[in-house]
Order: sequence, then C-alpha cells, then structure tokens
Amino acid sequence: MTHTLKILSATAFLLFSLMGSASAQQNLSETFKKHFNETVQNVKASDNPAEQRQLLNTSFDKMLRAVDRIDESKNLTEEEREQLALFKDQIDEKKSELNGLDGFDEVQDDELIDFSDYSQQEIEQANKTLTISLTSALLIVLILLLL
Amino acid sequence: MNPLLNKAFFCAVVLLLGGCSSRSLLHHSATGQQSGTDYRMIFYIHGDGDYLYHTSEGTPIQADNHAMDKALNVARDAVSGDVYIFHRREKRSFLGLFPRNKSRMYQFTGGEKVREISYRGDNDASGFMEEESELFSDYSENLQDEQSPVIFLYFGHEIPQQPEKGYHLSYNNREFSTEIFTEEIRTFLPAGKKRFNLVALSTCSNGTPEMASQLKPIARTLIASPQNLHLSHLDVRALGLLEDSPRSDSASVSIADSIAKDSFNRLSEEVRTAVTISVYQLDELTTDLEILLDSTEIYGRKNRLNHGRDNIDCADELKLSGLAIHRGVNSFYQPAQFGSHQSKNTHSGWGCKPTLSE
Repeated sequence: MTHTLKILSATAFLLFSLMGSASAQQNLSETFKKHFNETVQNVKASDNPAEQRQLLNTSFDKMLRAVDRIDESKNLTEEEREQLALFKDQIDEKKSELNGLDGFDEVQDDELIDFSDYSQQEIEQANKTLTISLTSALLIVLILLLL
Repeated sequence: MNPLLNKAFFCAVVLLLGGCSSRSLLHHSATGQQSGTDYRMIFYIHGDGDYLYHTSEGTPIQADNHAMDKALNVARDAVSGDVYIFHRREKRSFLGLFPRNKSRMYQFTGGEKVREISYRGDNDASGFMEEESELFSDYSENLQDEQSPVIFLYFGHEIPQQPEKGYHLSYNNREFSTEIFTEEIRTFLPAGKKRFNLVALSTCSNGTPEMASQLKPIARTLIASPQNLHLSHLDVRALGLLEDSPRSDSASVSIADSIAKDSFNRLSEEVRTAVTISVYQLDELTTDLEILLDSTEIYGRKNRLNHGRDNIDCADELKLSGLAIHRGVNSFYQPAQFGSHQSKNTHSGWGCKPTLSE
C-alpha cells in the first residue's frame, strides 16, 4: 500500500512539475539526489552494519540500473552519453570501495555511516549536473526503478 | 458586460502585460542613496540548474537560495558600500503562456535596499550574463573614488574551461567558458577601474592555471577551489571587514584569506570529501604562472584530457619545482576520508584535468 502510494505521489509530482517548467533535465539529477538521500537516512536509522551495507549496495545497484536504462535511449547525444558514463563510473567506484573491490580496502562496519555521508556529498557536489533531455515517460520509468 | 467577465478580462490583460515586459521594478527607495560608497561588491548567484543538496540530517537545501541569504546579510551590513546582487533563476511561465520574471536584481546602498527588480532573458542566443550586465549598466553609478575596492563574487557550478552549452538550464544554447566569464565580468568594472581587488569563485574546480591566467589582467586576488567545492559554498562573512578600512587596498587581501580560512574550517568539519580552497595573489604569480600554464598546455597536447572528470592536483601530473607551484598561492587542504586519494596529504593549490586513462 505504501509502495503504491509512493509510486502514485511520485508520478503526480513529476507530471505537475513538468507542466510548470518542462525541466526534465533538472528532475533527472534531483531524482538521483533525492533517492540517495533517502538511502543515507535509512542507513543512519539502522544500527545493523549488515543491513546498512545492504541498503547502500541496493541503492547503488538501482542507480546503475537506471543509468543503463537511460543509456538504452536512442536519442542521447555523445555529450549526454559521456555525462552518463562519468556518473556511472562514480557510482561503480563507490560500490567497489564499499565492498573492497578493484584495489580498495573494504569499508569497515563502524565507518558505514561516514561512508554514506561521503558518497552523498560526492554525488551532490559533482562539478557538473546531469543535463540530459529525457521524455517524461522515461523519467517516470526511472523513478519507478529507484523506488 | 458581466462583472465576472470584466474581472477575468482585466486579469488576462494584467498577466499579458506582465508577461510582455522582461523587467519589473518591485521596490525602489530613495533613502540610503546618498550614503557612502567607499567600496562595491557584486554577487552573481547562479540558480538556473540543479543546486539541490542535503544536510547530514537529510534536510533539502537549494544552494542558490542559501547563497542568496549570505549575500543579503552581507549587503545589509555594508553601511559604507554599495552592493549589487543578481540571482539568476530558472525560466518559468504561467500556464505555459506567460513568461514570468523569476530572476532578481537587488541594489543596496549604505546597508539599505534601494532597488529590487525582477527580470528574465528572452533570447536563448544572448551573452551568458547579458541581462545582468545591462541592468548593472542602467542602474549603477560611478564610484566617487577610482581607488575604492571592487569585489566580484560568483556562486554556481564549475565554469567550464572550453566553451560549452547547457550551463543555464533554461537557456541552454548560451555558451559559457573561462574566457566568456572573464569578458563578461569585465563589464561590471566601474569606469576608470581596470581591475577587481578580489574575485571569489564559489564553484568546483576553477582554481586552475587557465582561470588565473585569464583573470590576471582584471583581478588582483582570486579565491577558488582547485577541486570540488561543496554546494554549501564559500563563507563570506569576512567581507564585513571592509567596514573597518573601507578604502584600504590591502584589506581585500586579508579578507580573501579570511574567507578561505572560514570556509575551510566549516567545510573540514562538515564534509567527508576533500576540501581544497586557494587564495591566489595574481601579481605575485608572474613568471611562475607562465611556466605552469605552459606546462599544462604541453601536458594537454601530449595527453587526451578528460574535461568531464574532477580535477586532480597539478603537482601530481606536472614535474615542476616547488617554487613555480607555490609562490603567490595560499592553499587550504584536507584529504577525503574515503576514495582513492585519501592518503594524499599535501596539495599544490592548483587543479588540472586528468587524462582519459585516469
């Protein structure tokens, strides 16, 4: 029930905001930020390291799937694909560090909250935002992928 | 005519007329205009893009609105100076038909707001700051003394080194680059004044040899971050020190150091990513900057640079003497708590683009 409500409210919010400004580009970037903020708050609310690690891994996977779904779109320019690739690299790197892959030491259990803050700050202070033109329909699909 | 229809017609006319004019005067007051203008500050706050970030508690903040609060506080305390604030916001329209003037210009003199104007751009192919430059030209007055300090502060995302489109979300055909930025802020210099005393860039990755070289002819001191800067931006309370010595030429130098130090102290407490803020005394760089610039250009020609990625420390890429790197630069640095550079303990204060292989 809660899940359905979230889907309905996210869709309604998106349609409403697109009517006002037609700024799907902004919504894409903000959608990722809002999703990860929810993850970070859930990590902080948990006192179980295994659950915290799982929450972060699930969130990274969802974002990577969403990026792959955008990448399938045929209308993207070369520059937009580069932006996506950079964003994907950033998420991949965080996931590797969390799990001790690709030369990283695994993030220790007592550092998971700090690591979630670090990951959020890295994503939010990115030097450039994702300015990719998406159809409203694709943006809705992405929001559903992130739920 | 039916009174209801009358009202509807009146409302439609008001909306139409409001939508036609790209400027609206929201406030004008004659008080304060004769007060001191011992110094001038110009804030350009870019908000036409994604500037959302979250606090550690999860509270959403729009970085441009947060920067506006800081600028307005500085303006109210600037009793000996005049302050112009431009807040560039996303283009909006009512019912998709009537464009609204969402951007704002504020003019403060002697700590009092004397003018507030809402505005918008109509031409997607105009200059990056064209509307702001025109507003400034229409409403600013010449400084009584050409020696009075003039400070320009820019809040936004990274200013791209090469010309790029899409920086303004609403006007994405407008190109922006380091060179365009330099040319456009030159129009904010008062008549007779050749250089800003201080340019502060509250952006990511603009503490570069290229930016310093471009700004050197029009600025004496520069504050910028060689790498990423958190969207909570620079702390600018230290601008209030101008009140202690409004006409002092050297005040801008100590203010720049205070802004960098205050911002670094707060960010290094709050942020787990790397914090790098540098103050560049552009006159002191002279030949060292030329050596650095030549080296980065040669490096750029030999290697394919990745302009989309975050900057790295120039010292890690270029083999230069410490003198060429450090003279004239006061750098504040704290490494990230995680990531591949967490064990890097020093920073030259200069940012360079990485190669495609990194």
